[in-house]
Amino acid sequence: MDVFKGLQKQAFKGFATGLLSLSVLFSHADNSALPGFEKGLEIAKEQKKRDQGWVDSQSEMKMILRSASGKENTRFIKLKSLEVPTDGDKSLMVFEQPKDVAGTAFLTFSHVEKADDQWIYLPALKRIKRIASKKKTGSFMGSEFSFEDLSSFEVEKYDFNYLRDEKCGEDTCFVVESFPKDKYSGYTRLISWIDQSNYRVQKIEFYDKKKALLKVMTVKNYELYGEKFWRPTHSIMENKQTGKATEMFWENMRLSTGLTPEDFSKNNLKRAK
Amino acid sequence: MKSLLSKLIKHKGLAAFALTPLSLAPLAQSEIDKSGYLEAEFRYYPSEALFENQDRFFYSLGIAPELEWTSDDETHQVTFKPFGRFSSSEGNRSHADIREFYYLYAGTGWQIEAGINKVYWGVAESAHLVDVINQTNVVEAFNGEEKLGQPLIGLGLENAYGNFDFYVLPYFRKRELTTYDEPYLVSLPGLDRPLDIDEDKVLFESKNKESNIDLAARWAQSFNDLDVAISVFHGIDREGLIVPATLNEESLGTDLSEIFLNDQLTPEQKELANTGALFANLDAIALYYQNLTQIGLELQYLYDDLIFKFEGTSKYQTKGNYLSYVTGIEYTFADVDMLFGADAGILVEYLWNNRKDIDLTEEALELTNLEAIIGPDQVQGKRLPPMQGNLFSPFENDVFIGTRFNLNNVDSTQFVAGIIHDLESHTQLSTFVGSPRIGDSVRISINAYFLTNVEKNSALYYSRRDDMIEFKTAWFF
Repeated sequence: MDVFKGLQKQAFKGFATGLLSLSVLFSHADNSALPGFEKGLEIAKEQKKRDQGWVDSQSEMKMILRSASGKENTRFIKLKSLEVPTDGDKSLMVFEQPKDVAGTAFLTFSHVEKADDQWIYLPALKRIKRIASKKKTGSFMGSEFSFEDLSSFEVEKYDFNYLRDEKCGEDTCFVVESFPKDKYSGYTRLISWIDQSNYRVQKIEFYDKKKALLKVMTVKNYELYGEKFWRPTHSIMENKQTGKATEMFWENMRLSTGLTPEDFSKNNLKRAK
Repeated sequence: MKSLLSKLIKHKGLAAFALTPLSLAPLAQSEIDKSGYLEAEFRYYPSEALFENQDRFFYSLGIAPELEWTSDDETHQVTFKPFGRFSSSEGNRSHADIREFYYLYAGTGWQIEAGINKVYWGVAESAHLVDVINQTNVVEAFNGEEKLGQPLIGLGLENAYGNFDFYVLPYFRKRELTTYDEPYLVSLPGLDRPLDIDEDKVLFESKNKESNIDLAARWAQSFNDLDVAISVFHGIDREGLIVPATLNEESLGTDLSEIFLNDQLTPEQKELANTGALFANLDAIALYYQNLTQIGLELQYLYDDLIFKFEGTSKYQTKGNYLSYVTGIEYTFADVDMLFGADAGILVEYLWNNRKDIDLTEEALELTNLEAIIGPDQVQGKRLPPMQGNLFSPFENDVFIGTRFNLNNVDSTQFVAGIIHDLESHTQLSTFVGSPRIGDSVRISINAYFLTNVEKNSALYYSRRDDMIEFKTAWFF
């Protein structure tokens, strides 16, 4: 899911990360015979490599949910992420709006080799509940993004196939197919446009289990942080089957802010704001 | 409003304690986060009332403002969450509570808090056995999910060995029961009439009464997919025991609780006892709060989409030790195509306890030394039959089955339905909750409770027609 590089590292990073226990769950066709396999993998690895070392991030996200008839709903979420070099990342999301779920928080420890650990904090009851579900295809807060879309990117979770070069705006993009290895994935394949100058995701097409085009995500307005890390401030996910769309806007993005593992502890979940 | 305030002020210890957050908090520099909700509620009792003068419609307004201040570096935090309900009923349902009012300091790997707060322990859904710190707010919701704020001082440590929490609880809050116009009515075996709970009489085993200092601690640790927690509580049981309290007017207004305290009978009372009228003329019962030492165990194991849960307690008390547990599974079907992408959950739990029957006569005898006063022969033949279990822990051999649907839509609509079935008496309590959001700041909820197969010797006998449907509209600000 190299594709999400920019987006997921973003801040969501690791939110629902892969949940997939890689070694166990993979049951898929052998894609290594595809002509663009080697080059696709190279691109994915380069993309991953270029986004290592951001340490931690904090940001605020606004999400606008738009129905087919144009009706809008807004959500506000605070995001904190911690890069874990030897495993998947840790992330904390706190909902601010809708107000009836304000203070509800998600804590995720994503893992490369096994299922993620995830907890939800319900402020009215002051209760921390552990979540058990490997399937991450469901909608995130009623949006067109699924939990799977928000999970952190690991090269090991996909097979890749480079298709072609294509003009994208001022730049030229690699167009790469990726096939989820996780049997719980909601997609059969993704097609990603990754710019050649900075290896940033510009667009992704998602194909459903019936191999029909389901969603298209466009990523915009990349900004540079720490002279190395590109983060978008805007992305749009359009559902081509229902006409619904979700826009995400990031604000106040900060990298390497000095967060520690204690900021992602269960006690902290209770007082997260 | 006046009565609400006076109720709050009545808890002197509570009020004094509530001031600690203010005195401890550094002057606020960053701004205070204001939020909360206003709620209109309508309750309807579809079954014909058991007694005359019982209304079948109630409406009420609830308000729950929330003020929170956090320092810029997120180490200091002050939270204030009062709650008030104004009900059309004359019972205790109109009430005010400080749900949270505390100061918290968060260090690296540790935190301290002082003030009024809520603490949640446990993993099960149908009963909360280990969750002992806060008193249950029966007046707000009789399903046991609502709690009263608890004055406390807490220390939390979080390190490689797990989470350690220690609490000092300097003030006890009694359980309020009367919800509606009628007093809370309890059925006792051997009596063919309901008894009131006299809420003005509250009896304690501890000499310190409400001011007893309770202690609690818990250790929790995760071992991959296994979560373990062990907790200890030493203090006043949050659950009251039923004891005979008041005799009726024909019995010269004898107050048994006075007898309990004075250990003496007046000549008239002695005469009364000798003529056998003592228990036959019982008019009201009271709650007697025993001391309690409780050890709790929580286990939770994840296997794919399945969670196995166990929650149990061992309680040590003067009136008999007993074990309780609830154990079961929760299974989640995520993003179900047939349900348009909804998540569906299934819950199955079994509830058990070995609490002995409560012999009310024995209670009275022990508490009053009555036997020595009136002689053992006189007691014979005037006994009330023992009461099964207890009013507040009826789950001695029950099964719970529940389902939960999250539609994952823009309105975050949820449906939860559950049924508790008593395997011996076949009494069933069914519940249904449905709640869609409207727009960005209004949530509607519909809750329904139905009681079926309530036997004559059940403590719930006089609540058997109290099926209820509740409509709530909450506006969040």
